[in-house]
Amino acid sequence: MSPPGAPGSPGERAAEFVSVEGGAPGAGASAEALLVAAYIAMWAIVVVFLATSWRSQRRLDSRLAELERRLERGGVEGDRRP
Amino acid sequence: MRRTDLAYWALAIGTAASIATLLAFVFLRVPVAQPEAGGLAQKIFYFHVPAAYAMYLSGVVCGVASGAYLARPTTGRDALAHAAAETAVVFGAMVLVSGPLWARKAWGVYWTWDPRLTTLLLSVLVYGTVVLLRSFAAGGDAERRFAAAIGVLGTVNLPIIHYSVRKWGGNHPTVIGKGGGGLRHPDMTLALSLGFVALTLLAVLLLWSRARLRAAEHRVASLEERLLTAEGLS
Repeated sequence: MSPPGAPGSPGERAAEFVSVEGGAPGAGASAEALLVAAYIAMWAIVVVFLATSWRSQRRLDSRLAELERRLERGGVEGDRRP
Repeated sequence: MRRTDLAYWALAIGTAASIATLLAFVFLRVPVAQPEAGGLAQKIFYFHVPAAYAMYLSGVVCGVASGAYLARPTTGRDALAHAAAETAVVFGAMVLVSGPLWARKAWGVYWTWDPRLTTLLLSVLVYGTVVLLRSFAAGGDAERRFAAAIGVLGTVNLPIIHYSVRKWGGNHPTVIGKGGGGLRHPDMTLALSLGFVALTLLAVLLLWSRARLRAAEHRVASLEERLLTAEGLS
């Protein structure tokens, strides 16, 4: 995993940025494009999560409305009983 | 408006403000890093690292709530454990998506089976399992207990992720402590601190929102059961 000539101990290696063996740091990759892609992807994940919360909330609202309808029906039927 | 609602909206506004401040600071003030750190792509760091920290935070909440649920099951503990597993997956996904894009520039590859990357992926998969189990399995006590046990397991892995760099080396640099991952300007350190504040607020906000939602779902399900029983008796 470590490239030749990289500092030996994990402690030394952990304090630096070292390219992966066989990797070509910086080559063929636009920093601007990678930066924009990362920020869009990160916030898209949060937005999707918020959207699922919104959908769950809507489902919960409809279940509550159904419960209210059933309670009202039950209440009316209960009132009619002698 | 109730006090808890006020606190919730204050948290939401504080979170939005801190994220906006961080974005402005990172793009307008913080200098571009050294080429070996990825140059401009290094600005991913100010959200990538705090997102990893937010995942740890959510994971710890999931582990503690799951453990508490196993010891004495309550609806609140179950809702919190479920919500924390979901937020851990969200922040873990943020880390796993942003990291490879930065790595492409700094290391020359999108992914390497480095100890920290591998152990983090494992943790996200564990929390993902909890979320999937809760979504697709029946919501009985046995499923909840099983999910709670997996939640505890995911949290046990968190210290391994953190110390894997120091213990086994690999390509991932230490961010805090030895060397500081190449932070060479005071504004870089300040941006990272702002990132920790912003993503902590976001984690608490998402956890709170989701836990309230899950607790409300429990209450509605319980009411539905009671009503069904009452209708069956009448």
